[in-house]
Amino acid sequence: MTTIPDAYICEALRTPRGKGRAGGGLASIKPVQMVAGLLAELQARAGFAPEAVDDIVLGCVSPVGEQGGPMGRTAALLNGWDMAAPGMQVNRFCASGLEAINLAAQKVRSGWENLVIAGGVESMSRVPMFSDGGAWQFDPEISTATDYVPQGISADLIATLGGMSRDDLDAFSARSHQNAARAWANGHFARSVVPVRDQLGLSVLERDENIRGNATVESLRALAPVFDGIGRGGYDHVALGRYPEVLLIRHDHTAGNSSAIVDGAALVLVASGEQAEASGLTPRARILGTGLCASEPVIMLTGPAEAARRALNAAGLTFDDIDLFEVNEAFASVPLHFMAETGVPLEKVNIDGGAIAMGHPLGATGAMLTGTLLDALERTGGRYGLVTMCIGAGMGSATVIERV
Amino acid sequence: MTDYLTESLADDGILTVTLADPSGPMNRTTGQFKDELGALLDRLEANPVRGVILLTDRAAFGVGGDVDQIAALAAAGAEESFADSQRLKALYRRIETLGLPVVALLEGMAVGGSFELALACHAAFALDDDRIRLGFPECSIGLLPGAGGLVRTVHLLGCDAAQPLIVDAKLIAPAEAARLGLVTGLADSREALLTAARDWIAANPAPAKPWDQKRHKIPGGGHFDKRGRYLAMQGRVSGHVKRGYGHQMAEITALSAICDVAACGFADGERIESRAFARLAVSPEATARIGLNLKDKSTLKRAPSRPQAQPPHPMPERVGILGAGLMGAGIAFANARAGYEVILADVSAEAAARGFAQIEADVARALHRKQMTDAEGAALLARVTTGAGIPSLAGCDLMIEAVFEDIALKRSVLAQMEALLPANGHLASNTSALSITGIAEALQHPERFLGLHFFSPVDRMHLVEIVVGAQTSDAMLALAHDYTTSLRKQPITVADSHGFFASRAFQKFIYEAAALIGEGVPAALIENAALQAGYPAGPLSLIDDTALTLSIKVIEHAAEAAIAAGKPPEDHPGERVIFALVNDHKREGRRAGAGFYDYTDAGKSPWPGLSHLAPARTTATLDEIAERYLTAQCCDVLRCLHEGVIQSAAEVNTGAIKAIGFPAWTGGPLRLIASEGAGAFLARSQRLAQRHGARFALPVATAQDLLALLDRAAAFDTAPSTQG
Repeated sequence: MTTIPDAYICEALRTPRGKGRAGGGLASIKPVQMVAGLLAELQARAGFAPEAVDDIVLGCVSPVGEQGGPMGRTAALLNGWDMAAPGMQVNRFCASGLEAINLAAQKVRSGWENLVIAGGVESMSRVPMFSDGGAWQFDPEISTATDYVPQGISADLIATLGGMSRDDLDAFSARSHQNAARAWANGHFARSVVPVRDQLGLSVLERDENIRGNATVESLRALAPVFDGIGRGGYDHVALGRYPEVLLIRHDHTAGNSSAIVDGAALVLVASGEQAEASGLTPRARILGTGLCASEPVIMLTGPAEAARRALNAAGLTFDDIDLFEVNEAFASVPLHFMAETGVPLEKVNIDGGAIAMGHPLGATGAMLTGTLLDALERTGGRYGLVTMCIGAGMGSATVIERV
Repeated sequence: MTDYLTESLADDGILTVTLADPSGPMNRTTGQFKDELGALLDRLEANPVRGVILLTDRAAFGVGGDVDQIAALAAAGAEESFADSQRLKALYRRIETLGLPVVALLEGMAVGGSFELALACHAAFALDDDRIRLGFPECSIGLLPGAGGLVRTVHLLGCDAAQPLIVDAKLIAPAEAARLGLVTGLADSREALLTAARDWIAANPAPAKPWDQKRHKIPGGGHFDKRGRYLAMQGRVSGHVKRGYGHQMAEITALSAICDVAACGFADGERIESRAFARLAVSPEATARIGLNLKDKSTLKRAPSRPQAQPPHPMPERVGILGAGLMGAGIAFANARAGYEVILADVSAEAAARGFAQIEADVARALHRKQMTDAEGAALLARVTTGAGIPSLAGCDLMIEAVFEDIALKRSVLAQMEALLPANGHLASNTSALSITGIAEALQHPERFLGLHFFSPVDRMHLVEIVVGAQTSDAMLALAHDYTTSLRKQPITVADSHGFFASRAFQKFIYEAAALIGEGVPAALIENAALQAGYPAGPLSLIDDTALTLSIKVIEHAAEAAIAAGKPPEDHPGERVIFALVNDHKREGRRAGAGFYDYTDAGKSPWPGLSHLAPARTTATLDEIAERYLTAQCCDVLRCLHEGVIQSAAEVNTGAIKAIGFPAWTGGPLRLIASEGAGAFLARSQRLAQRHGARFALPVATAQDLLALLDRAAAFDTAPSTQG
């Protein structure tokens, strides 16, 4: 009986994150260009032959317009990898980038593929959120039949049910900015962040644009709630149909304690042990388990804990075994809920900041979190790390890695 | 059988077809119409003419389909409704594909299936008269246009412009229809219309609809073609869900069909429209909304509870109102707004002035909402004079007393008011609880006296209970009906028993909520169950708002009334909770800052002590709680019918919805019972009575008796001539 090959992460790179609006640092860069730039850098650093690449799996949440089609293949062609490296696109909403890595690991562990580049890309300035439509949110009949509410309503519902105050949310958000600023100041992102260059080869962005290291609870408190209007307009009524024990949904999420809208891309190189050796790659971490779950769709964003449990189960580990967690900061209430439900302490979570500070370039974030976690494990000497993400429509996705 | 369609072929080869529905005064798209149109199309396909002009000599071009026929088809299943919708579309499609011009002349209202007929013609010319209404009222009765109107509107105007017409059922004048492109042109007379039609026929000998031409595109594209469009739509959808409490789906089904139609070809769109139409046609929602918005409306227009033999009496010259509090001032405002000269009096000039200030505030609100012009507001105020003391009401021929709910006080002031009345004068008391017969004991002419129960706030509540005392004359009742209608309020006639109709049925709702507190059900569930079921406000909030002390007064009064009638007081478990809150915990309601809720500057939250009012914390599903609210009220409504408190089915249904917030999606309590079935409702009430007590028991023992009770109320509405 043949043994199941291990899937190793050999390298993880990302772009800095530019503000996802007109005038943002990456707004003049085509999403495919971002991928092609990272792809070239990955190949140059790791030194594999493009012909050895079995697949390029890229997450993207609005895969329409210039983000349409399998962008990994387009980027490969742009780099001249004509007869090497096929590509595919995956969409699992906000966890698309993590799903790409999990899929790559599953491909490698199947033994049928050996070297897979996984990651994601999202130019939210050029292809705005919801550009791809979707019957779940936007078909009147289907959204009604499925009790659709926007994620902000769900995030506010989590905070209301969990007894999280506005200050709790803002304090977590201030910490995200402070952690991210410290990580940059201490060079923690130096290895992974690759400056984005234009067609002339000129650097257009070298650092994450959105971080405000001086953010405090006091400064964040000044921001206005975002979702109270649409809540009162009808969505609160829909949500309370499923959560009648709540008298009133408090709308405490603001632009300051929700993830920022940004542009960016990230890639992770996944290989079998045998292939890593053959291609001269140095494994940095082993992917021990993946977890995927569906969760209650109206509260929507409570999947990370269950997805993490499933990934830990696959890895044969418990929450206590994990040294560091990356819990995507879609909204402040999401990691706070994850910690409350699992008992994971704050000091193990998002120690280098998260999407509230640096931004959430939807399809790319999962790969970014994985790279950040790997860098942090190496820096702190930790062994096990876990990435987990909430997902639209009530899903969760997680990955457990072991530093090697 | 008389023909629906009359043909006349002119020398120029143009066939004029005149529509006249033999089945009634209004042209409807009846079975006969469809048959004759089919035969006409057969002949035209075999022997074409130069052109066809469709017109009618009646005031209205047509009012569309017959809701009873729609209901009959739906009773046979959704497949039948779908097939019928497809058949009608196929018929209209044959007009479009005749290959010769067919032109409709719209000289009056054209709505529903009749407007759809005009849209199926190659051109339509309308009389340029702003009083004429064109459009699709279907969504307002829980349906959608099923004869191609939705598909054609989307193909002509696009997704965005179709929505107000279809979903909001907005009826438009011909000028607006011409601007949109739904009618081809306007003219000022039949002569001019005919000329326009003939010219159009001459210029377009073989017209084809846009969707029958190559490269036709829906204006603005599909729903999913524009991010801004579907993002904007989303909020609108949630608003419809909230407003319809998840029970009224016609608007959402129509929105969905509009999007869906824009995603595919014309024939696919026709199928989509027919499917959506059939789904709504068989829905309980359509039954309820047709019943409430069409049938009850026309029943109430005939005023079934007004003594029919009584001729219209002259309306009062001048209305005197005693008591310038919230109700008195509100009644004065309603009178002045309807054009009556009003004297608003109270014990002192200061008290009357406070009442006048409220009228000014009511006017300011109406101006702010653009419900009246500045001139109208000023004229309204000029019609109101204030007075101090009862004698200041001299000169009024209708006097309405609106003082405190104290029978001795009411008797005393009404006797004094009566002395001031002219011989042909009339007297009314605004009371929500006291016996009209009892008050009348103090009067010389009890036959010229009755109760007028206005609801608060008077300017926004459009229902009035007319309370008939033992000696109230038919003439007085008829006058009260006509007078209330002249205030633009809907009268319902109720007998003089405790709580009349509305208050007692309302109390069943709020007491049930209080009883649930006594069972240990969390306040949030109690409130949310009501809101999700379609009640406009949470019952515990309502009790707090009106004060628990007032509830106690009402409870005590009801007990006295029961004892006086030789019956034991009800002893509702909800009453005990209200007593405990007031007596043991000094929680008197919102104004006191403490009731079921605690009130602070930060808002309100349920009083944590509520859980101590119950032996243990229990829980219930939203459905179980809503079932108790609805059933408790329905049982009491049936008791009212049984006791003769109210007699008209339409008045029960409309009254319950308009006066006390009974969920509108039901179409009213009697429709809710009918939709469930007498047997099933009886079984439900028996089950609940066994578990929760006699408040769920019915005054009838068999489904047959229950049906007879419902039939009697329905018969009252169809046979008004037997009254009075």
